[in-house]
Amino acid sequence: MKTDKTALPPPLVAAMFAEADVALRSGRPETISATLGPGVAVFRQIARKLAFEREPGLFSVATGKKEAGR
Amino acid sequence: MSKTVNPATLGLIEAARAVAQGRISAQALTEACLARIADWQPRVNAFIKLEADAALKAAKVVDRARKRGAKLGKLAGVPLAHKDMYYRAGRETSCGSAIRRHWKAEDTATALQRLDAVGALDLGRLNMAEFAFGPTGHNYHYGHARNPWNTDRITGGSSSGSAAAVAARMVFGALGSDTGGSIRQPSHYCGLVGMKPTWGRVSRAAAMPLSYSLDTVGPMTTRVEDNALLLELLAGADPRDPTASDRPVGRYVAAVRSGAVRGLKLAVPRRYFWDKLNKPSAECLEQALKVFAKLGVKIVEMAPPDMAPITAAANILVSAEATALHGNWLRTRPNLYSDQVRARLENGLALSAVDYIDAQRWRSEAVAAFLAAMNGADAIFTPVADRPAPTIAETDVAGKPEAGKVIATLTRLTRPINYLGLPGLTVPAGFVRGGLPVGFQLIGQPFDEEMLYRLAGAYEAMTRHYERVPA
Repeated sequence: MKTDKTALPPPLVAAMFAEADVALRSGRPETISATLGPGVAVFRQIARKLAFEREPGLFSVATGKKEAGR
Repeated sequence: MSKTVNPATLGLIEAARAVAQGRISAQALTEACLARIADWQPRVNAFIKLEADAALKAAKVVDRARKRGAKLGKLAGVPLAHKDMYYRAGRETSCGSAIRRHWKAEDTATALQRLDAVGALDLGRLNMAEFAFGPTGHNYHYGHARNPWNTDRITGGSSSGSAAAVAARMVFGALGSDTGGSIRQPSHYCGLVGMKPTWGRVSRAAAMPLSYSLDTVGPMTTRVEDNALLLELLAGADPRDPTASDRPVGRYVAAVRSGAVRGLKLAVPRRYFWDKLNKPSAECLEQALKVFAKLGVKIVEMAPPDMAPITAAANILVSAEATALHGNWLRTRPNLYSDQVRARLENGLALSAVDYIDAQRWRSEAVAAFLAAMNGADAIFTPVADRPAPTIAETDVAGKPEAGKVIATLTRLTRPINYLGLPGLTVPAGFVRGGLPVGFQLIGQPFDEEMLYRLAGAYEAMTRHYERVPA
């Protein structure tokens, strides 16, 4: 599967730390981009194919009914 | 009770029966466990806090009740202990962290209430990964847990103390929690039976949350029927936890004892699950498959769906949810986290709301694809981890850049199952060179824990690996 290695670019990560008001340590945006980014890119390939109507849920499609308690 | 048998090495159900029949007092049983703890605690660091006096006092209450002929609960006088993330009102609960070192809970976890209600004793609070966010058993605040089979090796985690305490026969069973493998993987490394139930099968009320969408509560024991009994007592609806399912609880102990597995179909997904498996573990698992075949179970190959996006989606959920929970402490007290936990918690800051919601939206489709790949099989058989327990030294990566790779390696065969919400049971498969245990994982249909216990019970009756005890 083709993956986009820039799924979480370091400047974006740094900006999100600032937005959350969390102290940013040196090198963290690059590390997060390199470790979490590829997985996010893999998942986004899947996410692009999700049906417009698809709702969050766990066993609703698998069992053909809505999960109790939701 | 025979004088040659150490009562602490009995199974949980055997111990409960011995107390109920007056063959051993609850006090003597507790003292036997305390003797094991005195011997093993300095070597494996399973307990954060031992509560011997309270347990002995409760044991004496059980003994007095039995003498006057009162009806006893199913676990009356049986010493257990639990991961230090199950709250008990008025008691400290550290969650393995410095941040909550002296924090006292206001409520008692439903899981603890249900065990209390049947007379189980609570010997204390067990070690765990900081905030249940680490798969090795390292803990920089309370000391690392060590594997009773080889104390240079990791226990696995995050239910590290639970695994060490049960494996060393310090207690008859323990609660763990499993968000990415934290019951199944330490059970594999320490030679135990560990159940991660279907998401929603066991109430999580007043248990420390890590990731609402993935967290599960489950038991760890030395034997399958003991595990089944604990789940039977723990499972079921709970008004305090709206995510706890009201589906009927299975007859798990009866399933273990049924022995009826002939004709069942067990699917083996070689792709992905066997890709990195080391040779001794592979040989051990092949032997286990031969046992199932001998029992009349039909072994079929299965092509699993691509596991990479499933793992990625699981990581998105746990990262986003854990970061949301810890946001305030990340802002105000970041230096109180160990390096690795702080780094992992920071990951979630990088994710967008859309990534998170899409990871939730894809979930049911991923489950459907996985179940379709089972092609009518009754359960799936996989390794739990690629190899037996690695050393504490080689996995001591703290917050270094390679930490992500170590964590991914140790959880690659368990984390996807949390995303899918399915039940997974680790069953001891034997030992490899060096005396290290290896387990296999049975994965089932949603809420079909009964099937996993049925298969595991039949296998255990043929192999009895629990008879080997760490020395």
